[in-house]
Amino acid sequence: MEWVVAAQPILLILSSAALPLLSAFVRRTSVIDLVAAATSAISLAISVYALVAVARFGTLVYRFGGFPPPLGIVYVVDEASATLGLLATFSLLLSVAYGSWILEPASRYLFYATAFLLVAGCTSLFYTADLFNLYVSAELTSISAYVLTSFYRSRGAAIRAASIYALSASLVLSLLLLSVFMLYGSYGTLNMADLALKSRNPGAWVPLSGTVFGDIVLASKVSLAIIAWLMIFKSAIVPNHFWLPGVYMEAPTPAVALFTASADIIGVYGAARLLITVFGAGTVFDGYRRMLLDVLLVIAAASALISSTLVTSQESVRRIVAYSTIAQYSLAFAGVVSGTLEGVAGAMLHLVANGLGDALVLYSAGIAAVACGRSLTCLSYLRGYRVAHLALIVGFLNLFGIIPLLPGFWSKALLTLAMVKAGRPLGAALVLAVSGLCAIGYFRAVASSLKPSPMVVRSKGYRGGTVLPIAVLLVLLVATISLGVLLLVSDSIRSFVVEGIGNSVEDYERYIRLVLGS
Amino acid sequence: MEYVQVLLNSRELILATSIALILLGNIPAIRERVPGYVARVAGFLLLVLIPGSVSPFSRLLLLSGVSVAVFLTLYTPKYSRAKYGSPSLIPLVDLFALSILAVFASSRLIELITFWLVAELLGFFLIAYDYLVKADRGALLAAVKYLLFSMIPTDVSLFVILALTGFSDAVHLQLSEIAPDLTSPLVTVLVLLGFFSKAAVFPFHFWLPDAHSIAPSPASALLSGIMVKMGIYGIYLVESYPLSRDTALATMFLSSCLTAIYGGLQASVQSDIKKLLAYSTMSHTAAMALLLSLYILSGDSVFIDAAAIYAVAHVFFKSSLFMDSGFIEILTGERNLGKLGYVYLYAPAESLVAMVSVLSMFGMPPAVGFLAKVVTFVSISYYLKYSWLYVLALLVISVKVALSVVYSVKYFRAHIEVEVKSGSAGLDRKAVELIPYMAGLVAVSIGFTFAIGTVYEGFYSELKVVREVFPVLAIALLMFVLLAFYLLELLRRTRESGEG
Repeated sequence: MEWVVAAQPILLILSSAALPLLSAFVRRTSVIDLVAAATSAISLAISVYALVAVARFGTLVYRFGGFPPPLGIVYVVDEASATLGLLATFSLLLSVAYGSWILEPASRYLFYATAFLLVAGCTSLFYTADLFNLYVSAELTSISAYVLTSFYRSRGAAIRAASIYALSASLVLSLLLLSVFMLYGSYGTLNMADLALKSRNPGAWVPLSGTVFGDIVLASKVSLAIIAWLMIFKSAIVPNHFWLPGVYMEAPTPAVALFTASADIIGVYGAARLLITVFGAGTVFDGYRRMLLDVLLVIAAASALISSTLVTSQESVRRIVAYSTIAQYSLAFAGVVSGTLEGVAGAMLHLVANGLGDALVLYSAGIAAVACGRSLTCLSYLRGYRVAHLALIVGFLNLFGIIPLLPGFWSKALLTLAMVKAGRPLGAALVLAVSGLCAIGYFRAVASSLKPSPMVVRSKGYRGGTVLPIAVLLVLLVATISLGVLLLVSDSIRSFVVEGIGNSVEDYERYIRLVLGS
Repeated sequence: MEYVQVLLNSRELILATSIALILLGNIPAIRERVPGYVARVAGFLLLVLIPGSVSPFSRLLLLSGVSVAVFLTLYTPKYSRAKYGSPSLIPLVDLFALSILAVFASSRLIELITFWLVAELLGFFLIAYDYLVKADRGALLAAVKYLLFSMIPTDVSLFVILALTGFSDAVHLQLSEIAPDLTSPLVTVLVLLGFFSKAAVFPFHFWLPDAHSIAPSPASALLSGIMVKMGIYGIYLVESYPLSRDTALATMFLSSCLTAIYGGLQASVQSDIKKLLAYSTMSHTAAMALLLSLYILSGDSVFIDAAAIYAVAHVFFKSSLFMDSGFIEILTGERNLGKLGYVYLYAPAESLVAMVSVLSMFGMPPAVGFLAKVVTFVSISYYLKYSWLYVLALLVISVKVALSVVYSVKYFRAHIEVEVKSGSAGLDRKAVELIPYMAGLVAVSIGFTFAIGTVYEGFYSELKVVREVFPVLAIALLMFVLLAFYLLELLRRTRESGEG
């Protein structure tokens, strides 16, 4: 059944192509909505299946066309990639549902088609064990993200935000392509397991790719630097964050919620996969790698502090979410580059917690935004919608992450643990200090939502009631709280996160064995 | 019968029932009626039954905290109506009290952390309450200060302890069975500073005066009366884990000496009654931290007991004094000492209640503050010959007690002043409804003196004397109170006739 996983990106790409065609023939937008919902539901089902299968039987490996590696493309679905894949497809389904409520019917199909492309790129990036395929997936994801950012193409600010994003990201991604060439030129292979093997044992001989045939040390060092920069850029770590606030202000609400759970997490995942698994501990250039990780840790720490300070003074929910996302990604990045098992596991869980929290906040604030506007004072409008109000508060509490009933607590606890284990107790203090600074912004928003303010006049009514967004929020609430409670009460879930996800990234020998065989 | 036993032994069941009762009592329809009051009081009283408490320390804090919570849940509705015109403060205060008490009733680390963090969150919104209902930006600022300098440092401590304990042990083992390794000096300091920030001990002391004086009075009573003890309790727990003892001693001794004197001095010069009380809290918690640091030095648990009794005394007198300050605020709309001094004219009974609390604050028998003072002095004096540090500690405590007399008297001048200013016209007589609850709390606190005396008399021969002379002291107090009441009444009559 491994082929199901490989079918997931293909299904998404095919339906992305089919939706515009369908919209040319079918007048009723509800049909388009249904097709989109069905596709994303199937895709979510595949991800659930993959995660359950990984948890029960271990890593899934699928070889495209049956080619023996390192010849063809290999998909490796392990604990880390299955978890993030599930996060991406889950948020895809929710943003399709929410989009069908908030977006204009005439242009909705474009949103669906691009969102499918974006998630296809993400899942393929999570699963792939081929560096060139990883580059292509990153490009696919990024291009879809530019398009979604400029979804409201009549707005100048949206075009501007998309242009800044597209120009800078294309530049960084083309450098990744350059490093792919360099690695191929020296290692003679782009299979990630093959790279992992040869970077540790340059004399190793692998059928079909042979041995290395260049100076792998220099090429690896240059490539590592480029990869590190790319991942910092994609994770919007300060000072490479400049593109993110604009994107989060201008993209449609469901797109932003989708970004925080798919397109923007590829930086942290990529850093974990490439800097820890592939070019991880034990490589022949390990001293350089360690220095690089230390530098990255300092950058991530500074970025977390700066961005969380910025969170305190923002006046709209979107901006709070934007800067808080930068801060949370910085923490996750710090967890990855700490190099510990708990750090990697905490980082992945942190991405999940942040994605859920951002979605709760954005979707509930979206209800207020439609009726009133985006400023914080408009949040008091939610007093009329109990579920939405609860969702907003739970979302912020989850982002704050200090209640053990929410997953945000567990990811922060893991990150703290990672810092303590890495011998950096001040790093543990940093994690909490960043949470505290962010909390000022969160609590200002919560306080505004609690304040009784003069009744806001509805500028325009809700299309088709608020049943759909409320249902989306309910699903999110249930998912968030049940994940938190499961982490609290179940030892096996906790060990899946720590040992399972942690080892799937840290244990490079297992990765090599799974992909290359013996 | 066995079933009853099993039910009583189920912590979760008792806790759940208690939470359910308190929530039930907060249903808007019955919130301000007898069924609501009964449900909430029963909910709080039920917490006493929770078995498996970690230590006498937590048990004492739980018992005294429950007493405060019971009277506070009766006090808050009237206060909330009088000050804000709505009952919206009641659920917040109740849940806040509940979560703090649940911290003291926790038997596992994960439980402790959960309730601790919930309590901190609710504390934030209580401090920011005036911002929520009256858009007072000062309240938001105080809340943010509290968040950054009290909440976050404590969270660092808790997370570090959780990290070093391991998740599975935190969930499955009792608090007394875990042993996180805090021996690295940096970790020791980090963890201790976190709990200092909750107990408002230097260097994280400065958030407290604003937070405790800006919050609504029932919240101040909880913040100052019980919540700061969470910090003391945290330090107590940390001391039972492996840690760098020299670093811990140096940090704790220095910080607490500084804060004890600084808080006392500041309290003596305040003119705002709530600020005065807030600074005095700082001074008292520092004294408790000082006692705990002497435990590290000596290894004798006598200092733990002293700190526990001190904490209980502080719970009672500080909560009742903050309730009193709320009463004064409602009655006169004034918090500045310079403009007060006539409260006894309109509420002599409340002046008496406040007098007993003030007496407790500077340690007169038979108030529970007296017991705290006795145990503190006795325990330190016993060790004087071993190290100069004990001499220094005794000196600091003596100065602190002297200062406490100064500010206690100063506080009481809100009630009665020799040169009385004329009472303002805009008095809110509804405040009188609050008096019975404060009187009740004070009565319970005197009962506590006796109870603690009984429990601890095996350890302190001095306490046996307390118990033996207790009836005499109680009668003396009663006579004193009656006499004072008579004098106050006399004074009032004279003034009224003079004005007439």
